[in-house]
Amino acid sequence: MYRNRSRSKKNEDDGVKGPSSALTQFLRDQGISAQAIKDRWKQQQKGEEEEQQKESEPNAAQDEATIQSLKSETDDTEQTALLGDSDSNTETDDDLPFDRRIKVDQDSDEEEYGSDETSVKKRASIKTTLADKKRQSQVLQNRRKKRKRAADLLDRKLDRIPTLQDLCIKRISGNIYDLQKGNEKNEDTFFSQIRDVLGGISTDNLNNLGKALSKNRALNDSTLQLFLKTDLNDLTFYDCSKLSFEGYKSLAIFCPHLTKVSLQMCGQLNNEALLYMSEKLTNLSAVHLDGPFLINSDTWDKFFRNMKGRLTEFHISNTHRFTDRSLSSLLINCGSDLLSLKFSRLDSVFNYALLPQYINNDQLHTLAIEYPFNEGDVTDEVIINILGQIGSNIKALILNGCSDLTDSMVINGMTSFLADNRSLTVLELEELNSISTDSLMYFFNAVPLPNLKHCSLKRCSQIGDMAVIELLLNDAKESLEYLNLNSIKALTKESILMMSCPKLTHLDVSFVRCVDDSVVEKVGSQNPSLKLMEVFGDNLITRKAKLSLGLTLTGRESDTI
Amino acid sequence: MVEDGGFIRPRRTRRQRKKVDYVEMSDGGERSQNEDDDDYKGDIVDLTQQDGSIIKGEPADMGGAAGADETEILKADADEGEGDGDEEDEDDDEPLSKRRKTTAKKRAPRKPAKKKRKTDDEKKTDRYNRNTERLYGWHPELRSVFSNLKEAPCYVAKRATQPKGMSIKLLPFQLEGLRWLINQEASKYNGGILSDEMGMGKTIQTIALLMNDLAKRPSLVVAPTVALIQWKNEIDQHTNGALKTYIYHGASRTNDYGDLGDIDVILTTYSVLESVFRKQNYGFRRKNGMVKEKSLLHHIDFHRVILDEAHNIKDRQSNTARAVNSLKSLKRWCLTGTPLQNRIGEMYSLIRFLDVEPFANYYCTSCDCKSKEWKFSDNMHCDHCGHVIMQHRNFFNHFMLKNIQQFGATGLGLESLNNIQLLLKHLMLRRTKVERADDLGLPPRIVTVRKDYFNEHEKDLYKSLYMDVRRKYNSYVEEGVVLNNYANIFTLITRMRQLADHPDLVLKRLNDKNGNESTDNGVIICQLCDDEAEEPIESKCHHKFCRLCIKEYVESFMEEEKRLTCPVCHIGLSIDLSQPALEVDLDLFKKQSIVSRLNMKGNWKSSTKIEALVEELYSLRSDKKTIKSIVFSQFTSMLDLVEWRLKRAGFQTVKLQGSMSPTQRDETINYFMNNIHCEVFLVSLKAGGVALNLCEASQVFILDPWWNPSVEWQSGDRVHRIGQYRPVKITRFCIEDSIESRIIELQEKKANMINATINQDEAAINRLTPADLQFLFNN
Repeated sequence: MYRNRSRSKKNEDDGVKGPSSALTQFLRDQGISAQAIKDRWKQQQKGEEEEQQKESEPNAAQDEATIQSLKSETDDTEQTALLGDSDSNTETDDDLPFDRRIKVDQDSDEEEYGSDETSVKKRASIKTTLADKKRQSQVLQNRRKKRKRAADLLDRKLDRIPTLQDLCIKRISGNIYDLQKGNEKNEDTFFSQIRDVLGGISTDNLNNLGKALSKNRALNDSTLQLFLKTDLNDLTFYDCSKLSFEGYKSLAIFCPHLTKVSLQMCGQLNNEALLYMSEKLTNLSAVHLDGPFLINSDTWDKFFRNMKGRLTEFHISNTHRFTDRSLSSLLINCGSDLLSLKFSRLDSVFNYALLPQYINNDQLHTLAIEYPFNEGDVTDEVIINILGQIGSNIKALILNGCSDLTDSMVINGMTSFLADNRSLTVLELEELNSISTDSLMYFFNAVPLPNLKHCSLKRCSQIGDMAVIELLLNDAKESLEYLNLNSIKALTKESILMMSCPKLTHLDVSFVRCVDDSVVEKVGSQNPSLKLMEVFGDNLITRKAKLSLGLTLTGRESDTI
Repeated sequence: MVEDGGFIRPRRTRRQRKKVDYVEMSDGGERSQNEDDDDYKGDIVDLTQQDGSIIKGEPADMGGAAGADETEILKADADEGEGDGDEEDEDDDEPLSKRRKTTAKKRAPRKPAKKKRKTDDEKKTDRYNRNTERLYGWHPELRSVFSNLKEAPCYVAKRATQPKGMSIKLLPFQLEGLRWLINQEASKYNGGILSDEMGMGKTIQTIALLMNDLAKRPSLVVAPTVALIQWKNEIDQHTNGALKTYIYHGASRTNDYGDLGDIDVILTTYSVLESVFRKQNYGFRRKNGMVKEKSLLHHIDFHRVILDEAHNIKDRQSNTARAVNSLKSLKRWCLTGTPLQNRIGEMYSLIRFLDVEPFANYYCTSCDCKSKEWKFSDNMHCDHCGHVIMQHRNFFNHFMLKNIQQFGATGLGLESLNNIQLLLKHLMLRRTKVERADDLGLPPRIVTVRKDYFNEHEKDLYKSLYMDVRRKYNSYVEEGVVLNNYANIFTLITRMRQLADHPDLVLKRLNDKNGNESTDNGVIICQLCDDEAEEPIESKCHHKFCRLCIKEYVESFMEEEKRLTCPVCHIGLSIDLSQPALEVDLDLFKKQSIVSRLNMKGNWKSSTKIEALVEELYSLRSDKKTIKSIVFSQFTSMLDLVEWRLKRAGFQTVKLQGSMSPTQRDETINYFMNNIHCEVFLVSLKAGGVALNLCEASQVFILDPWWNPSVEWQSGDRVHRIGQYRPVKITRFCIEDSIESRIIELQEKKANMINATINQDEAAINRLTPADLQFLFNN
């Protein structure tokens, strides 16, 4: 039964299948099919009847058929494309010569294959072909432009023209592998050459170069040479995953003046290299490490003892070998000197309660505790105690992902100890979903934050309109530059339309569903410096939204579709 | 059954046999009906298993290799009351978990006759001891096998030196492994089983072994098809070309021994090996009857043979196992992350391949005959000594397997278990990731759930579907036919999950079912500009482009023409630019990607989940670093949609599909690994499960929750492996107000429950009970 059915279906679909002869195979490979030949023959017959002319021009007949079928479709898309793109009109002129060339080609082709007396009908058909071709290429060009625009949006490029130096650096880092291959022998001189070419290399440019190399995943032991033997004192690498421990060691030897080192994704930094750096770099005072997961807790202990008295900034994230013991060693040895401390995603630290015991330096200006392994370890009490000691001078407070924090922390901690603080510039409370509208309302109402520039309430799911309204009534509205309200789903138009912050440049309202065309327009006009607005998942925003000059929307569905 | 005289009784079915008065055998004096019953139950499973393999049509019966005549034996065995001569066919033990259950069932009704059962066990023990004594009597050398093993020095971890010429630096535990490999080759075992956990570099250690002494060659590596090219690449990459490799695969493989003369490592697959073996031994049909073809591989004297993923031969009666066993080699190796998948009997196949004396041998209990092969040409008498089948015992089965099957892990069974462990201590090296975490230096792995909520439009749609589904479910409940409609309910749940991904996954499908509604807006999508194709033409690898797009693509390629690759699957591009334009084929559309059915006129709506993914990827993008990600989904149309959306948004993506050929697969992976700008790798669950090594990526996005959370764990293994220096993050997407949150909850509940019980049953996690369904549909 089953077999029967399947066979009959097969027959319907595409005829008998079986072993095919060499000829069939050849024809299939060449794209010659019986159907096409038949069609062509029919076309010819038609032509004979009408004009009594015998012609055999496979291409023309074929083209005609397809073009006619395509024409209607093309027109539609063409129109929409033209509507969407105002520049396209200017482009058409530039395109003309190219099309003409095609025309010539096309004609010559015809003459080769066709007979002398070309019919009127055929001429006409060719013309439509050409017009179509032109239109097609235009459509494609528009599409390409659209893609380009989409990609630019993605890269957060805000129609800025890059400097020549930037371009050069980009080029060099992009092609650095090829360059290296050619110059394997005298690597050293080669890299100093590059440095010379780039004009005595300013520190600024070295950092740009570092950025570009990281972006291209080209930062490795040999490109590291570019940074050696310089008097850099501030070094940032954003992707060190290809630097081996040897590389870090040579960095320690050849850049002795370093005071601040920031190594992101330093997965190959090992115990030996870290200790070596702490010994050789005598001026080192700020260390930012992301992903140093090879370093064990003994080494951390030694490291902090080496750095005793000079470590002022310590940022660490993404490691599971930084333990409670390492934490206490850090606090005992360097705790009193620290000015900036950041912990993020430390999977083996549980005893956050140690922090308030040692952090009592009221000069400490940056504190970040993010994404603890057990949210329960960072309790209201811990944060309240810390804020009690350093609250009056802190500039940046970041508590992302400590989702066990509750209103008590906001009211008893932030409100009471930040009340006299006039210097808070950064406040991040992302993913604190136990914090409610009421406490934040109270906080923003009671504490003036005249210097707050950067505020993020991303994914605080309990928050409603009133909290945001209070924030926008606070002194902070004069200074805010960055505001993140991502995924606060309870927000309504009421609060967002309140927004009028003269300095606000970057606003993230993704997944705040109430944002629609009118909101975008109004917010754009009320916040004159607003440059970038992220609106992912806000499906009510259409292509008709009126954007004020200089404002870029990112994540609008209709932009890409 | 066969009696001493070689007389065969007429065959009876098992059921009949039960009725027949039991005829006492020479050695089973006090046998009771009860015991017979017992054996009978045990046989049933065997019977079905055997049947299964017979149905599969294994051409096995024809050969003379071990255990060949399963069907014959099966018939003969029907009368074997004793379970005495059950060497060949019955040791296909059941999965351990299953077995335990059946014994429990068996015992329950027999409670009143407790005494009898005791005698049962005693009797079995007696039989075992009696046979052991007989074996020892004829084969005195066997007496000391286990005591010798016990006394032999155990493996001590010591590091070898890094072999010269390897470009990769071996990790400490890999050097230990290398030393073990070298020692093991020098020992009497001539090989062994390397069964380090997945992702610990078994391949690298083996390559180090190959590099250790280049004079010892040639070697043969047998691997699954998907891993074949990976082997070649890794050998090329890590040895700086010191080893010459040849891939013995595909139609163009050589048949000339001379071609392989200077090859150090020959790579082949299990299926090729099986096929050449079959052609050699059983022949194949041609016009002029059966033709036999000599197998090249079986005529080379290899220095060593390496089986990658050796559990491929776990069924020792399979032709593959036979093909592997008949290779000629001095040293033999098995590599596998899971030496035991279900049954202890699987171990035998590996031991048989490794040819460990005396474990794989057959011994006669009535004379000093011993042999490696099961040679009973007339199905009754041993070709060597003339004694009947039931007088022959397999060493492994007798001392290690049977008792475990009969007694579980108690008494004699425990002894056997210890015997196995004793042997494995000398034969196998296994290290786990947890043990060697410090050596491996793996980055931390973070798993988070990203929760989102539907927008108004989606919520409406979802609600209406949910109400519909729930009504159906409730009606099933009322009628009491939930389990009868399990498949229906499952489909309904799948619809809801798809709706949480994107409404089109459900809506476009429904249209299709209703008829041709959807086909009238079908268009061909150019895979370069991701829009409706103008004059679509098709490449040889069946990807469609606008004529102009692909023309420009070809013309703008600066390098040699040979290296031009297809922009979709990245194999060499072959396309006829002047071919006639394709026309929309309505029939074909149903089979095509969902993207071709989308509304291209500019009012296509995205979904919350897709937008959430786009946002995540957008926030990973920066001008300072490049972070690559893998996106998993189990719905291929969802991947199609996501790919299209991402490409439109300016991301460069590649997609791995189950339908790809090994070369396409390999090229696609290479493209992703080597191209900086290609940031997103889309994989369907089925295609991305095995042999994928994507260290360049460090982020994993799982679009839809799976029933089994361990699958999600495995998907993380694609990036969380040796060579990963970036922190790994796995993000699971979940629409909070849909069935997905319930699925996640259910999984957590089940995982807790299963972890709490001692008897861990992996399958239970996949099973949906009526209670689970109730949970999914309860508000």
